Amino acid sequence: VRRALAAAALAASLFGGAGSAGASTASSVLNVSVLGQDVTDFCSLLGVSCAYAYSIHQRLVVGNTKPATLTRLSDGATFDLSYSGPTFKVDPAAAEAFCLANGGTTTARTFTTQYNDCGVSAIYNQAGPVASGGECDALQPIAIDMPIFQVRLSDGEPELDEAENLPGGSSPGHIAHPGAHWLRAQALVVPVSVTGCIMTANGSPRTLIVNSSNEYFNNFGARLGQGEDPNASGPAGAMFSVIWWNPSPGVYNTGVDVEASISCAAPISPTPIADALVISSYSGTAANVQNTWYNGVQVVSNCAPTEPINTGAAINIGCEGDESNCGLYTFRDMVILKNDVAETPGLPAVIFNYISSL
Amino acid sequence: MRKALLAAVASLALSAGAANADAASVSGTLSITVSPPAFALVLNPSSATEACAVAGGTVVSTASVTGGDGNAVTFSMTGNTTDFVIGSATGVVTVAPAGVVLADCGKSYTNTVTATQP
Repeated sequence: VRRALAAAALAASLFGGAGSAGASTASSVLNVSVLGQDVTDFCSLLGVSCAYAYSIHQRLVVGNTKPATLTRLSDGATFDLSYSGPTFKVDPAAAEAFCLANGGTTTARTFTTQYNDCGVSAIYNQAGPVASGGECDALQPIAIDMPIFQVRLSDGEPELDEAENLPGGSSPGHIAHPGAHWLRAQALVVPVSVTGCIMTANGSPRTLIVNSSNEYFNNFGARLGQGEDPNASGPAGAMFSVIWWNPSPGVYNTGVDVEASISCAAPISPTPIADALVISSYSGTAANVQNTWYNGVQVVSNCAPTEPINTGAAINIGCEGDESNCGLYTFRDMVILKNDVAETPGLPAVIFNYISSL
Repeated sequence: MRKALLAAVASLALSAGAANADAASVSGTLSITVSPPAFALVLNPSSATEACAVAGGTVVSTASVTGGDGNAVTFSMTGNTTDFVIGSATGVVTVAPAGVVLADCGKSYTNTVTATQP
């Protein structure tokens, strides 16, 4: 009897197992589409925090409605640039109409059409507060010192030209001649005296990104971020620069310019540069070191400047901080990040790919 | 032993018939199997669109099951498991904590969510 019961129990077990011992599974398909990069919100896209974001030709921060203001030199009238289309690029058509409406003229240049009656009197900090003071906008109230508005031939998008008041030169001159001294005041100036507008330094905004070009054979030295103060008294300090002309041996450098020492700069080209995207960070994984990427390639790695970057008085867009060897360049975007991109592996490449696609 | 059991059953049947000569009865076996309801998985929604800069942790879809035997369910997912993750106990599909990898933006993905009940 015991065997029979055991057999019966075994049989029952097997039959029951057929119904439930194997795990039940059910599947379903989930379709997920990820939209392309939002080309109008650089600062949030990369998960980085922008201290400053300036552009003459596109929206960098979602919600921004006004990148820059033009001032007509002939009558002082002003015109606010605005965005159009799904990519939020500045449409130059209305600006061109404004610039030509009071007897304005154009000058054909190698890369751009220059609107000779339009100065750029303000480039607004898109990363700043929208409706309150202290936005850290870059301003130039003096007409003759305003950079000139121009439109790039290759893509029809606006760029910014250098200040036209060339000491010893013609006005509007825009004649490339290294060695000409341009005043740093002839630029769009972000006064750091405004509360919250602080310079690039250790513990402060630490990455400078500039999308630009140097049109002929001059430099794009720049007191963008942090410059020498006083300038050219070297080696008093270092200029946190973008691209600058080193007359000996005659080559463009990018990195940190230290008077009498270019130990933290890399030669990039002896000839004009059509497109240059420079990402430079200061004080990274070790104290007081500098890293620079030029057009996607790291050209300076963990270099300690022989002199500290000086405390500057302003961030300038439109002229350099050395007051020497300044010249023709065009400006499109400048972003200063609060963090050091050198501390995030791969981030400079991502930034390069992103801005290059704009 | 089998013979002994059969004899006992026959004896009982015969004795029942002997107690009531007018009534007759026969017996049969009715087997009833109660099966659990069909085990199925539902995704709500089954299609989703996310921004490239979507924040990590954002809920993309929620999986739930119907039927089954009431035992605990474990969820799993195949496909793009870099940008999207699923809670094995909750069935909630979310964006990975680090968000969507930039290189994955501008693309569509087909993930398969599976529920398993022991």
